[in-house]
Amino acid sequence: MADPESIKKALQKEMSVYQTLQQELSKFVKTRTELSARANETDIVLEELKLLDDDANVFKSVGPVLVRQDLVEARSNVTNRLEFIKKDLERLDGQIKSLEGRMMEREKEMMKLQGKLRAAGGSGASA
Amino acid sequence: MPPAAAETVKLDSLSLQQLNQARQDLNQEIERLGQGGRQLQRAAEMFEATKKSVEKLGASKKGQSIMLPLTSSLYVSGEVDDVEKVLVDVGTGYFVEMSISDACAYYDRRIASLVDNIGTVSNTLRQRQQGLMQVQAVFQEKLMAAQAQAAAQARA
Repeated sequence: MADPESIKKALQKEMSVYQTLQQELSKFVKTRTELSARANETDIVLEELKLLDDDANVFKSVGPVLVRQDLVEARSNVTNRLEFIKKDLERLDGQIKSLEGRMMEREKEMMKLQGKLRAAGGSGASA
Repeated sequence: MPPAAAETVKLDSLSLQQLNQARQDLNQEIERLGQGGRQLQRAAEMFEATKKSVEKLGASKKGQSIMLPLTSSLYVSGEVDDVEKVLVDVGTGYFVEMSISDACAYYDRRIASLVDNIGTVSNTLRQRQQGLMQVQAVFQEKLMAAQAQAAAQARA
């Protein structure tokens, strides 16, 4: 049986690892919220562009100027961008999932250590 | 977040600390939902105002004089040259030339989808508020029970 002090140290180490993971997770979640808002907006734009007649005049703002853009080109640009954002979202979801998995592992590890600590403390008291 | 029914079932089995945590989580979510709802409401109002402006423009004649904002604090006088077409910002930097009626239809679409979202948000908000009330009730109950127990122990 390990002594309570070293278990406590291990537990603290686990805690700090866990907190780092937690911070990382909240960063990912924030990025995800922003990205999905962008996907939403892009989706609305694409729907609107689809509704237009083929001879409609479309402009894209580039800095302070509006540049005339071909509707077909605009549609394909926005479609590509939506695809791109969606891929980014998928990638991010994967990262979030693996991060959550790692957090779960740390949680289990912490529970184990807490159990050990209790056992060690109990045996120490009876000794 | 599990549905409210599942929450009620397990509320009684939660400890005071867990209940407190649930209370805080719910409060945070309610705050967030409220903020989101207000933002959507503001966006809908903005579209509504823009639609009104477009309608006003459509009702005016060519040559109508107008004060043109160069900046938010500087205006120059001008005349409306085109009362049939407007450039609508459809998002992500794209502007589309539309007729007055198309522009109005566009704003109607956007407003309708916002109203839809506002409905969803306020429904969820109501659910969470109910959830919070349940958690609050169980929390009070348990707190009182714990206090009574502590008092009994102190007397013994």
